[in-house]
Amino acid sequence: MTTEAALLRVLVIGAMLAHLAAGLPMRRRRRGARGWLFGIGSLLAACAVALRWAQVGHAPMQSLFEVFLCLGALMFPLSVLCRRWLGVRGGAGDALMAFLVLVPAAFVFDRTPRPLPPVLRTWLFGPHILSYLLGYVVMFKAGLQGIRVIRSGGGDAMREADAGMHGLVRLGFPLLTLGLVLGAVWGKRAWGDYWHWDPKEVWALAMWLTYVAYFHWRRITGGRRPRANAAVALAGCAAIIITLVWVNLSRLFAGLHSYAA
Amino acid sequence: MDAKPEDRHNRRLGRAWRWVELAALGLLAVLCVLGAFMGAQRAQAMFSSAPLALLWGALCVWLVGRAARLARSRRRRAEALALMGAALVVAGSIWGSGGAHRLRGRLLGRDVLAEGHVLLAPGRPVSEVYDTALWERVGRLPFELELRELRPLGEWDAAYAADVAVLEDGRQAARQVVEPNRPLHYGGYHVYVVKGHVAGPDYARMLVKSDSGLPAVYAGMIALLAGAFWACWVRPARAALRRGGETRDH
Repeated sequence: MTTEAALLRVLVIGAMLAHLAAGLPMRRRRRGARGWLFGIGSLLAACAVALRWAQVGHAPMQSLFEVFLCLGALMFPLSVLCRRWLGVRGGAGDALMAFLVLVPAAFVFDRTPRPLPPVLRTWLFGPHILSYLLGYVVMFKAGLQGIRVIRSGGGDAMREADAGMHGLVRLGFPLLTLGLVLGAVWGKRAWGDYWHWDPKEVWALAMWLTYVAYFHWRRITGGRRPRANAAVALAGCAAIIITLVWVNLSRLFAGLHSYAA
Repeated sequence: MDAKPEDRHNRRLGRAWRWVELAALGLLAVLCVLGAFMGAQRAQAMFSSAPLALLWGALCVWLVGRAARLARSRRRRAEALALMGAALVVAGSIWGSGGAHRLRGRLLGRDVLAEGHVLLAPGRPVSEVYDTALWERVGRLPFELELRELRPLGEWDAAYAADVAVLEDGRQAARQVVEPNRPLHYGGYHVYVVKGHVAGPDYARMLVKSDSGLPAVYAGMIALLAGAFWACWVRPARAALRRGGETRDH
């Protein structure tokens, strides 16, 4: 193992442990320590992203290892922004989510650096993947709020969680739309068509349609069915997990997007 | 005051229609999932089949109608823009589809080229376009393509750059090095390199695609994006700023 690879491993594992420490309930932890631990975890993950970037010479978003590393690094900044802009709390859940995405990056996915194939060498590569990653993080956070809605007994707590969930879905939906559009534009430039009915594309469309259905459902019910709203938002999260993980790893879904496996 | 019977009827109809729309969204999502399990080729065949072509047409009409209705309300113009964008994408896709090209060809009594492959060699301009197997002629370009030079792309097998000239009446009208992510765009067609050579290092197999419907698709994507950002980001942010201003005033 080279020094770079060892350092990368240490950074990823360090980030993972810091996020775990931030996310778990601990009686003896000082006030404010959670935020610090979360921030340190994100900083370590960001350093790992930077190191990886220097290692491969391009934005590290090609393999599942790189994608999950970027997801881990994005959780803290987005958690802070969501708290400031939307008043949505839940830092502990966000830290645990970051821990969960960093575990496969640390121990499961292949970390071998790979050169970028010619079809991925385009200015669209970064914006397409990044808009999806940002959208995924926001939608996962919305899913966590959805779990809060379902578990709450009703009343103000449920209303607050439902409002937070709706704000997050509204924040993330244009990002998913942007990812879809940029992918279509790239497909036209690279492969001759903006839509190939590739399994990844089709699952991404199914995911996007789930969130369109979420907005439509809310319109029909006037937002008065918080648990049903949460169920649709969680269905969207399930579609994201399938699009991000199952499609890339399963032999069922071989297609144009096989780079990420 | 009690609502008039016609108003109550219209409201019931509107609510029923929204449930139908939700069901249609669900159906579309389910078809997508089905298509994912079928694989790209079979999914394409399914979504291009006659029954689903009717569905796409109906979807387009519904999107336009809904967008027109929403546009009447100042508060729903963002949604109207997004729906109009989606309608343009669907309409452009229908117009650019293989089926639509074949139909236009039958109506006009001539070949209307949707897509195909050309085999280029240095010093041999071609305009004939063939199917994927390079066996059956599917049409003819309104100009000729000639390969000037073929360059492999470094360490990647079967990836190359092709220096291609466009000839009109025997004279060079354009020339470009065509490589992945840099197709040649000329005369209403895009020309792409295709992974892998056909026979030997001096032949380039290129994919030719018609631009029919593409302007509508791109305009639709822009409208869809603008509508989504406006409805989800701009409008809530403006409402929050207004609320903040009102709070300070009090």
